[in-house]
Amino acid sequence: MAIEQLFCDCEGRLGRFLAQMVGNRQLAEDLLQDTFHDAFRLRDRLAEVENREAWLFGIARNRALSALRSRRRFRAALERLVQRPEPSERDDLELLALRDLLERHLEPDDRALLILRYLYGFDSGELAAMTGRTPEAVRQRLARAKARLIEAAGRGPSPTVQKESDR
Amino acid sequence: MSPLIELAADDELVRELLAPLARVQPVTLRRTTRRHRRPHRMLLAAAALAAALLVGGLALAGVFGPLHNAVLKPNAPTLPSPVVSGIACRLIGQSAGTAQTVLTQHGYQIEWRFQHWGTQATGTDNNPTAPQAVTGGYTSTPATVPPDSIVWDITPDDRTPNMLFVFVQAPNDPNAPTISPPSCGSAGR
Repeated sequence: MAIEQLFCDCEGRLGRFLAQMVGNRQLAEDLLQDTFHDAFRLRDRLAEVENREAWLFGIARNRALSALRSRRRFRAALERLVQRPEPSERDDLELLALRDLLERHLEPDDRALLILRYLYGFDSGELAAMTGRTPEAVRQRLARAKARLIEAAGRGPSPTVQKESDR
Repeated sequence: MSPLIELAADDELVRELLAPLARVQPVTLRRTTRRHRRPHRMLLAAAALAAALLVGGLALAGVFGPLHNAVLKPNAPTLPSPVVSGIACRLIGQSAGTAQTVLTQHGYQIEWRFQHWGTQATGTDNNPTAPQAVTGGYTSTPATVPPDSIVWDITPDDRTPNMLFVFVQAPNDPNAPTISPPSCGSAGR
């Protein structure tokens, strides 16, 4: 499969993932652009990649985390004061609340893991390939992130925090 | 409850909590490749500019030449010989080649005045807005002129006998007014 075809097939999902991760459409567009640029630059490795979609998502994740780290490092305080929700999300109070909850209680890396696991269906092996961790480490991290989310959402501490590592 | 069932319940809860994120609209690649769009935009800009210049040009000062309906009504030439005056009068609006042939046949020398019309139209005292003539431009004094130049005035050189100034204009001068030959009477017919 040519890299261009892979881009076409994954653009929608990647574009949604990046928008979910950074919450800023302009930044997400930039990151999508950067993701495809990175992928194109690394296209020679594509032949060795087992799951090409997961490979692309891994690049996008790295881009998103890098952007979020930079933003957090330099502008977090200011952005929390002046940040406005995207026009398309202003009336979606449930979405706004979720974004706020995720940002306050989970590290970007954990947010990415949860989103990739529960919204995009990547398993721990694929997530391990994306993140450079072992599948076991991914499972443990996922379990902790899941527990924090559930607790932050007021659904009570999860009794199965450690069970994810069994998967 | 078994751990597996609890696990599934947790997973369902997380999916439920994260569900609002599914409503986020994806971003897309910017495909406004400038290399392709720029020429298109430049063509549009050039077309718009050309249109603006055309409209502006037409609007400028009421206009000239056929487009403006400016009309030049030279006086009938007054030469020492009434006969030649009549002949010269009828050369107004004719070609420079014809004028040269006729006038030299009658023993006159010609000093050409080639008019390059300007872009300003003028009206008359009675109707200042009606373009009746053209001003601006300049007159050159070439030794010869293209034979198809149009004669629009002939006047004598008072200091040199048998010398005539023949004013011509280019047949395709975009600013040239329409030449309205004067009434020449019957002299010289």
